[in-house]
Amino acid sequence: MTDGQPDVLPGESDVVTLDVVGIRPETHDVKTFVFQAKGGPLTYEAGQSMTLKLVLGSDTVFRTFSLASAPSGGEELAMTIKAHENGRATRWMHDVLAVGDRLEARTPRGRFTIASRTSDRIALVSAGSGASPLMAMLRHLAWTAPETDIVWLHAARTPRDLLFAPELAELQQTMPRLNVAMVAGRPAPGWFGFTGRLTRRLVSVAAPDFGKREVFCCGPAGFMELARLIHAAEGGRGELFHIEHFGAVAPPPVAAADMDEAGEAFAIRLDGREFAARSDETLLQAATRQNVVIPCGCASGLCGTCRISLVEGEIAMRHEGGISAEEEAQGFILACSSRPRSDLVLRS
Amino acid sequence: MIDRDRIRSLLAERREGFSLPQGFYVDPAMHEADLAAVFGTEWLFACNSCEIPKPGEFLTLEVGVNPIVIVRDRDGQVRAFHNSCRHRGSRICGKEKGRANRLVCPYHQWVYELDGSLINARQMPADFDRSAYGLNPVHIEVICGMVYICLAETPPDLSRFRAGVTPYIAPHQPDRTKVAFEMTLIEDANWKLVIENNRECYHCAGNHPELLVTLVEFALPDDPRGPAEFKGLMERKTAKWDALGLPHAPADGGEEFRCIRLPFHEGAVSFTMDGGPACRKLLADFTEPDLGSVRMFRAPNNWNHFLSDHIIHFRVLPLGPDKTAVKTTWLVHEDAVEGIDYDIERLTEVWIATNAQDAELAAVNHVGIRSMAYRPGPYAPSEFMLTHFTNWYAAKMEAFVGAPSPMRMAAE
Repeated sequence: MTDGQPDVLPGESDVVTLDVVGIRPETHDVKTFVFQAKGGPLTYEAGQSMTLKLVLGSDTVFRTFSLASAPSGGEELAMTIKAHENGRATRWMHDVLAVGDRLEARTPRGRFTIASRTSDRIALVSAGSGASPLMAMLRHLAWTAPETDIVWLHAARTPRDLLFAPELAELQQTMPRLNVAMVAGRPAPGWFGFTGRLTRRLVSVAAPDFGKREVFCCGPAGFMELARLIHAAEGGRGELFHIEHFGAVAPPPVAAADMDEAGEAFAIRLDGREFAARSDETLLQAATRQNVVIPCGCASGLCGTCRISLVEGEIAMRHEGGISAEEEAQGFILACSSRPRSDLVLRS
Repeated sequence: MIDRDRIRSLLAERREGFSLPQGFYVDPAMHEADLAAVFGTEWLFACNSCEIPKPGEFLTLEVGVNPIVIVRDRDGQVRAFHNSCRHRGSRICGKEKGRANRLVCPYHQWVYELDGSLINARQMPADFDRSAYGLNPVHIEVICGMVYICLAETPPDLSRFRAGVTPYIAPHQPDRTKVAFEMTLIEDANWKLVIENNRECYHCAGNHPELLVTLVEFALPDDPRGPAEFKGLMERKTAKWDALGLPHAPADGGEEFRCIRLPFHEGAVSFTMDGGPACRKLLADFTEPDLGSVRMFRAPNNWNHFLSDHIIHFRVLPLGPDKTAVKTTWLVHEDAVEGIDYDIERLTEVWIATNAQDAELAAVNHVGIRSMAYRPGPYAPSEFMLTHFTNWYAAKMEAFVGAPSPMRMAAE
């Protein structure tokens, strides 16, 4: 995912500064934030995400959000974000962040992109604000391949939570094979779409050839698992089902092979800060445990957000594609996927 | 000629829990008796209604000497008739399967509507009462798509069977299936040996390597012979099926029928050589591929498997004292596409191999029973279903020899 980016140097070269240039409400609890990158447009692929550094009073937190914008046109950088009831960061963005404010962010990354598609029959399946990266994909297809056969299947809690309805209607004018199916968990008068929970029967009515489609899916974990099971039950092949996942993913289980004398702690230095890490925990787990902040996203080796430089020492890394071979060759590692095998010197 | 005293003496000789006396298996006269006592009085599995999905589609079968036609009428209802013209008796439909606008006798072209009524009989006098010459109907019941027919004047009650098996089978939605493959095997064995062979898996370990890739040999959820892993497997699977609302505990079918959901070996979900799905598109509205199989048997002529991805029906019809037709039908989701969702060879190879092995076992069993040294032998505890079946059979024969007019069917 580093195609087109300049060679990344250790340090801050993948940090960009974003200006908030627009904020618009989408629903009662979803807003779209439009940004402009200082130093010119960023290169990215439709479906990728960025990690924002948010300074909430005395706390600094890192949050990863999908871009809803497409690199091929329209707005430069847009994120459609729901204010979560108990989400301090998203709440802050909704209530405090204003046009003219400035943020730091990591450059876009992620493997959940429309560029990975192998088929011309697509289903974009989302629940709630999971629609964002899929909207990026749809906007990209509208620019690059408007004839593509696409089913847009979106599940919202209630009709007033529906996202992107006006734009979908607009896109249908230029995308003759874009079919839209909406599911409201709880209906309301005037609702003409599907109602209830996503089921195999509902999907096979909305998209009779669902099993033959390549699916990009984003939403809560339970929703994505259900969509995966439905796709498989309709005859779909696993390699044609793609999901995006973020957030509170449990740390990957420690494989036995990765464990040597558990309990042995190594001394780790990161940008001058020191902490201890056992051989059976990841650098991210150890750092977090000792209040050393490493910006992170998925915590499962996918997103690349916790990329740091290994200056000295030995580690064992098992990642899920969140770092390229080139980056590894340049000495980068993912903190969430690396366990120490000696004392280490690291640089963020 | 059937000698009722001979049947009585064979019944008197029979010991419960032992294989039947020789005469029941090999006497040519017993074949006639079985046709009258069992196949002339009982509900028989004929086909799945999805085999004739459109009006006018029909299929034929022979129960002993009785040709039967099963046809879907214009209202979509499945009907069964004696496939014999009311003019001078000629057989009407000759093909095993076909589609007809009307059922027309090939001899003198009497024309029957799909509901069996005679609508044209050329050259018959003006006062000929066509309404008195409709096709003779055969009793029919459709249970979860399975078509059962009965040749008796007054058929036995089928309601317990219907109520017992429906909760297990209906979730697999047989109405939304189609035939992927069918084959008929003519086995050189008495039909009762074919059934007995199917009713036990004592013979599986030594004979069915393909089947045992996936099938667990044990026949009861709490089988004491089962190793500890089987118990754990049962507990894990049944917890999952409970959560899905799918029944699994054995139904109370007595000696008439058996219905139970049993797991495959860990990791296996279907009857394939690697345990993986045989059809990618699952049946019904299932999203869970691991549903084990609902095994349903009904005396005298039918066993079945209902899986997450396909259904298999087995139909047994006696052709002679030592000849039995076993028809196997594989059903998949009605929208499944051959070559994409399923492959015929992968779908059928386990049971084609197993059927061939079973045919050989039944044939050599029959050959051995002819021996002058044959004496009924004891069933093993794992062969408890053979005790059920032979008890059921003996009861049918007792009713037959006790009946005032046992030859009614033949006399008609």
